[in-house]
Amino acid sequence: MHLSWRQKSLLLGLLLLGAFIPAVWAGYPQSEADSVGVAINLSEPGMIPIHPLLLPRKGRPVWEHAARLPITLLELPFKTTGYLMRKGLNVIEAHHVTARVQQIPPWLVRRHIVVENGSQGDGSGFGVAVGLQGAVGQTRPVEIAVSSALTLRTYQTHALHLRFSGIAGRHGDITGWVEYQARPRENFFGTGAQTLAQDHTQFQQARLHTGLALSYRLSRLQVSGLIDWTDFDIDAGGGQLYPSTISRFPDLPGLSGARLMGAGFEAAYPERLYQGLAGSERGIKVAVHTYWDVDGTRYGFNRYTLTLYQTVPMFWGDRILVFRFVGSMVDPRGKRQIPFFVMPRLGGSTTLRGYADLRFWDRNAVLLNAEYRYPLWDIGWNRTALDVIWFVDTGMVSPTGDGFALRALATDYGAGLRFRTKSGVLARLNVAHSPEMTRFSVKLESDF
Amino acid sequence: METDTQAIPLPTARDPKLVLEILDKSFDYQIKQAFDLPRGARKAAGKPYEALNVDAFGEVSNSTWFTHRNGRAPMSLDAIRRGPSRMGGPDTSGVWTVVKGKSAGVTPGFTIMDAKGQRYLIKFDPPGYPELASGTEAVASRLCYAAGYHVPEYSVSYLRPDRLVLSPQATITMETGDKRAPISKRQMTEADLAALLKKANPTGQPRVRVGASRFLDGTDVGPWPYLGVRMDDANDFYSHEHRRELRGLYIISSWLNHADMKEENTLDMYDPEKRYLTHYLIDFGASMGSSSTTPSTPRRGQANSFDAKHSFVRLITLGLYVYGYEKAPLTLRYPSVGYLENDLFKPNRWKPMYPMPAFENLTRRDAFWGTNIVTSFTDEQIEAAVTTGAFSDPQAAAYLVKFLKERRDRIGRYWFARVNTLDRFEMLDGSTLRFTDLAVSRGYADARGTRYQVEALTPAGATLCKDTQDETTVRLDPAWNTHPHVVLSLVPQRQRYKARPVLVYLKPQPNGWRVIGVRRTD
Repeated sequence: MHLSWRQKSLLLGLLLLGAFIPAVWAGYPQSEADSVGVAINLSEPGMIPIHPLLLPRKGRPVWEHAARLPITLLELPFKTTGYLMRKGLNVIEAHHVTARVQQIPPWLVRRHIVVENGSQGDGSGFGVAVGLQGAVGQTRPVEIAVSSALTLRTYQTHALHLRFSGIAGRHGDITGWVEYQARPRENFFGTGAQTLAQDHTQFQQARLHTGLALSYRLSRLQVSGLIDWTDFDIDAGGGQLYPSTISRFPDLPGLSGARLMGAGFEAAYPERLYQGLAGSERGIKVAVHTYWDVDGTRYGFNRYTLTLYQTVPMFWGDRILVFRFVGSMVDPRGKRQIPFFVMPRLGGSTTLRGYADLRFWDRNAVLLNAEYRYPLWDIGWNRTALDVIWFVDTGMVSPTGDGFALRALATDYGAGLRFRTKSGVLARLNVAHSPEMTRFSVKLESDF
Repeated sequence: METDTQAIPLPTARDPKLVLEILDKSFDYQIKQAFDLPRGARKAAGKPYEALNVDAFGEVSNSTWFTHRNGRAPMSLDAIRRGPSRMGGPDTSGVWTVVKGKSAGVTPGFTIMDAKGQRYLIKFDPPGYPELASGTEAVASRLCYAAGYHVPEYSVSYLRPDRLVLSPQATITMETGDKRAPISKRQMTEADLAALLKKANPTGQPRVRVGASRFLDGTDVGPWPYLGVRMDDANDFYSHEHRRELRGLYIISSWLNHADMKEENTLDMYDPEKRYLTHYLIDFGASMGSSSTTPSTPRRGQANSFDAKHSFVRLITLGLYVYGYEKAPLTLRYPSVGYLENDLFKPNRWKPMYPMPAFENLTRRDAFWGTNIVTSFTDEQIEAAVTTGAFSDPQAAAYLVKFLKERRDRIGRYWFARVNTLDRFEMLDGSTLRFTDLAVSRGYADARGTRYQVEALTPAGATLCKDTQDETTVRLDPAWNTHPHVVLSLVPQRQRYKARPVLVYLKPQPNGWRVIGVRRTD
């Protein structure tokens, strides 16, 4: 027998109603007194009335248990969470983490263990980073942060950051860092905007990056200069699903790795539009870096990056439209080459969210993100809220500055949730769709 | 008569976790309610679960939960001002011995023992808002007490730093700066006391205004649960969500904007001599225009902390629907009384910060019960209560009085337009029944535009007589005493007002008629 969807809906409704009528009936003893709520025993005036809810209940029949099954199932996660909080998590906090913190020597002030986003960048999957943050010294403490992260796809990062504050008054900082990253499955699809998703290859990259930066804050303007040294080691990809980049693109510059020395200058002028509303910033960031080859004269290039971001209030309060424009360019010096792994790239949870990680590579890239954010759950305390996001991303790469064309733009759109507090964004969850794929991503860090 | 003072053993102290309570009431309980089809069906049919602990007259008895005060007979202005106070606040003529300190949190505080040996919790007003928390707590607690609830003694007092003495056994809780173990407790030193005073009194004033709450007598056994009963209290036999005084508390809380209705703000005290529990409401610092550590906001009272309905509306309208509280400017006319507004206030839409089951079970009968209490407060009584806040600016005090009067009247106009407002049925001389129309007597309806439909019924439901009259008395026909009892159905009639009858049950006695029961059908 063929039933239309209307007939099916009606039948389902009737079945549900039929299943619950006995439950409704059994929920209360039926009596005349029940019809107005309170039974008055007129033969004994002044007595406390017997309310139906106080009457002894008969044993609950099986079908009533079945009728209440949806409630039982729905409350299961809450019961489990409550049980864990009562029995499990507190014990871990009290006896494990705290105990480890207590073993740290007393001269290390402001010490605490941090558990952070374990993602090693775009496409690294789920992971966790555990670190220790602290400061040595009392008057002018040196802040130290050590962390290690590992993901399910064996990406790993080990980092040590030192920051010495208080240079030139209270406005200057010196930061030094050593960071090691091993990334066994980096994507590469070739260079240019017209590359095919089927040309998916992978390579392996290990990187040791160390440097020193001097930064200075003057009101909202932040300027910094840095020097750094990076050792790139490139090898065949570690995955089984895709061919190696080295075999598929044997002529790419930089396949044998590189050791680069760099110097740069960065300036930023951010401004928060609404006090207490994280992610409502507008401003400009400019970065200029120059790199040269430590081992010879093969590589040498300059990198320029311009970032503009703007927040536009919509309707009222926390409803905002946010735009971000990023333009990146690497420019070779003379006849020197540019290693492929330092080229601007688009694709992934921070750029084109509906495309594969590192989907597009080339010497020039432009990107525009637009998001509409509004509060779904305004908790009403400390500007904490869960926001809904609707977004559109568009961008493209090009070998030359005049190679951009509107028809070649790669565009995706999607929606997500964003949990923020007064101080910043704690987590984001995005679902993005593009002509190539639909992607789901979770980020435990700030927007974009 | 509710007898809940039987001797019981000392119950185990409860210590509910706020996070779990919020999760439970905001999610688990809401889902269960949504899928409780018997409840939903009864609500949709206009026959919701009514309160359990009511007598044949629809009233609650005096108990360890509630005592009839201003709602039944007007309290004197002195009694309003006195409130629950037996000691009149800490004795300021002698030294205060500090027995416990608290430097954690936004506002510091400590526990003292005054010269009379009474223990008080001393709290300072939040920085930048002098008089806000101490004044609010004194006023709101007195109004809540006059409404009939059990509350501790809150008063505004003045601390003399030079008369503080540190007890050798004093302890202090402090912030450690370590997020994993943020609070530590140790012995309190003179340096701690000095630091604490410097934090609370940075300008070194010789006399500092504080809020003082006297420690309750008996043994503290923790908050009472909002759902069900306390299993270790044999006197506790009505589920709390079905107690009329807790359902009706919604109306009183909406009047006082006492939105911080979490279990932590309730307390059971065990009397070791009489051996039973008394149930208290505590901590009124976050009510009216105050949020304890800051002024209140437009959102308070308009939405739960986790408000699923508002979230759903925002979701489906893509954020285009903006609630009134989101647009309302946070203007403070008088910082000492905080943020007070009545424009957004709708008596049936007021919401506490966290869902409270008793409030969610509110029926019209409960609302009538609560509205009767709120509207029983006269202008003079409200003014008397506000004087206990000791606000230094008379205009600020007048502003708070205006807020409370306006809100009281909004509540009265709203609820009295939706329920049968007849009450206080009494026999004048054995043959004449007199009743009071609360809407008329309290100024929310015009007596000249009000008539009363009176119908006398036999126990079988046959009509003995039916009439519409202007008077609030009904003469009972002696010929009716052939019936075992008669029922008078009374309905007020006014323009744009429709009420369901209140049924008054009358039994013939040798010396006349006697009221044996009242049943509201709202």
